[in-house]
Amino acid sequence: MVLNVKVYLWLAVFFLFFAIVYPTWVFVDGHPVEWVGTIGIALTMVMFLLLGGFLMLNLRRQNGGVLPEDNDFADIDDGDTDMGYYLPWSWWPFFAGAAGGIAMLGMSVGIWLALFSLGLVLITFIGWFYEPVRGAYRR
Amino acid sequence: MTTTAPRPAAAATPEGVSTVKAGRQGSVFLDYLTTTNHKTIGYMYFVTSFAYFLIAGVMALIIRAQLFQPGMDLVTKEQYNQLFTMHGTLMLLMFATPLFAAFANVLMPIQIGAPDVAFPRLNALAFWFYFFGSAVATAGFLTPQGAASFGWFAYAPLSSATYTPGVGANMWVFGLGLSGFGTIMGAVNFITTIITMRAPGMTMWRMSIFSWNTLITSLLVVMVFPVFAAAALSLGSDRVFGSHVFDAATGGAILWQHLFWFFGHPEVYIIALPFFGIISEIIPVFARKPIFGYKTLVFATIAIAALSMTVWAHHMYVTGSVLLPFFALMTMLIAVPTGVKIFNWIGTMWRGSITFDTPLVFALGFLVSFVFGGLTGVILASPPLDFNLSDSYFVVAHFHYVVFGTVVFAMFAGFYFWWPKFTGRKLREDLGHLHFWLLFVGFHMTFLIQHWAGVMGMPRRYATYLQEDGFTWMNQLSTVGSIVLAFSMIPFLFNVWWTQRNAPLVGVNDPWGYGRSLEWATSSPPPRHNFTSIPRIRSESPAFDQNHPELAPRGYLEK
Repeated sequence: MVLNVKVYLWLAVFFLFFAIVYPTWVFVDGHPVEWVGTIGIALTMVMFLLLGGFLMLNLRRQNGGVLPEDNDFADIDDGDTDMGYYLPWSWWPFFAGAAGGIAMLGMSVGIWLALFSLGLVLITFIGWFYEPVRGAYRR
Repeated sequence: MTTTAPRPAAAATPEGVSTVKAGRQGSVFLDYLTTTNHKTIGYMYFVTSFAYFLIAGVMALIIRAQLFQPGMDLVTKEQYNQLFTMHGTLMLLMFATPLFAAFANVLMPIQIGAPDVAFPRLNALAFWFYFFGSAVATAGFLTPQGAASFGWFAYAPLSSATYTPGVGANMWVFGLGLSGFGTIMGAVNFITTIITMRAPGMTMWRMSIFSWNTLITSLLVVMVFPVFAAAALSLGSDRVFGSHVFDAATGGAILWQHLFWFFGHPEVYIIALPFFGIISEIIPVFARKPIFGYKTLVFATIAIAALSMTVWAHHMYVTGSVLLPFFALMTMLIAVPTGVKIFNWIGTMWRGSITFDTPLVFALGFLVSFVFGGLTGVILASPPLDFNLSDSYFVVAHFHYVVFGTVVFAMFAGFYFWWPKFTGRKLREDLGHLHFWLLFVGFHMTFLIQHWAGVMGMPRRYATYLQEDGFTWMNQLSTVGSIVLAFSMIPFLFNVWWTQRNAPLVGVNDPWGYGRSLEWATSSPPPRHNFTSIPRIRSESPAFDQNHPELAPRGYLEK
């Protein structure tokens, strides 16, 4: 975890550097402001701050403890065997993907189809999120 | 009188191989539709992306046939535009990018010792978004005006509804938007899996290079694919709802180029880095040496990924409105970590006990082709040279050396290497070598000559040329090469078919004998949740340590 935090925060520093250097260089060279790169690099920096910062908060919560996967001398049975629950199969990814495909097809060939697919997207969303609540996989 | 032969005795099953098959045969299709198993999803990615590879290859053959001699003998100019547009789109976004997801899905969880990925349903949704998005984009061929024909960069204002009317172009825009969302979801899933689901003892510095490259590639995906999805959907809104985001009157042309290449350049690394990872897995196994400079290889990969975000406008030198010195400097800088990688691979082979099995031969083919492409890349990074060579066949040759050299050679290297792990059967070596030489000769015959055609002034994307231009013979050589290249698929496909029917099951965890990363410590093919037991992890080659404990790090056997 420490390494992950370091990698992401150093990448944030890298992009901070270029978020400053690139627009400055553009300005010094007498070009107009180039918005895509200026904003894009800055937002990339923000993304890494978010990622690194979130992992750093998690690291703090460990209170100096080391996770088995970060411990050089851990054995396999040191790990927590509880990996959460996994659905062995699910219909919803297929239907959600198909609904997305129909939505995009509708955007390109005719809005009526996109409006129709809106309902399908809604149904698959609900089915997706409530799958572990009812039916065969009720928990 | 009836003669009867005795029923042949069932072939003996090697020890440790399960013969129990759950479910009925007819349930395979149902299983594919509903699966959340990362390996099955990976195989679905393999099959779909390879199908697009073959389709796009046929388009390339038609393009080459059209260019065999001057004149419009085969296709119309509009059809030609559609062919090269869809060839590029299919190869990059429906073949190479999902192929990364394929290898990462099947191998990465096994290599880090995880039972599955972190979000199995999201993983399946990512595949279906890719599947349906690509289907929508490709189905443009079925519309009356045909598929998109504005080149795979879709430069504005050519890609506007005025200059490229038609439903096919809309479908290209929205289909790629959807498949882009799928790619992002897959990448988020890989990042989470690597951060949270490594086996105990599998520290970051013990992950296989392929897993590292999967992590870094996924980070790149998360950095740039949202930009692409946003740009594509804005273009769609311009085309369908009449908005003016990419209106040429308000600088939309250059805005699109910036947005597209802010995605497009890192995209090249998204399809290169995982395949560098495959090469880094294969070379140590057949050189019988650990990877040389493990940490420098990881740092080089991170450096490439970071730098690739700051080089996008080298595709835009000829627009005259980008900061030339900055982008030339950064582009040349990116050659340094790439060179470090080449050095590491050669260092791994140096004084090793090399055997030239098919995977290694393909890896060497990759090295040769990729170094060529890298060198021409440094040439193109220089603005004065690029001004002359931009949009010529020199560029076509350059990026085919880079992308074909990396993706296709490393893909086949990976196929031959991991086929026993995927299916339990080893592909035939003799057909593999035949396949390699046909591919290698065909590839270089097709693309090497295009450098000179470009230098002589043959422009990219032209449907034909004149006899007086003097590159007829070059194009003919190139077309013949492309036919050799196409024929190289026959031994491969035959090999797959023959192996599935006739090859014996390998029956061992590690058929190569010197496998290093964790996938060689489980059965071939692996069980549903990948492991029945995981060996102790004390280095980046846990399977090798298990099989050769005398060479493992000190303290490996101590309790």
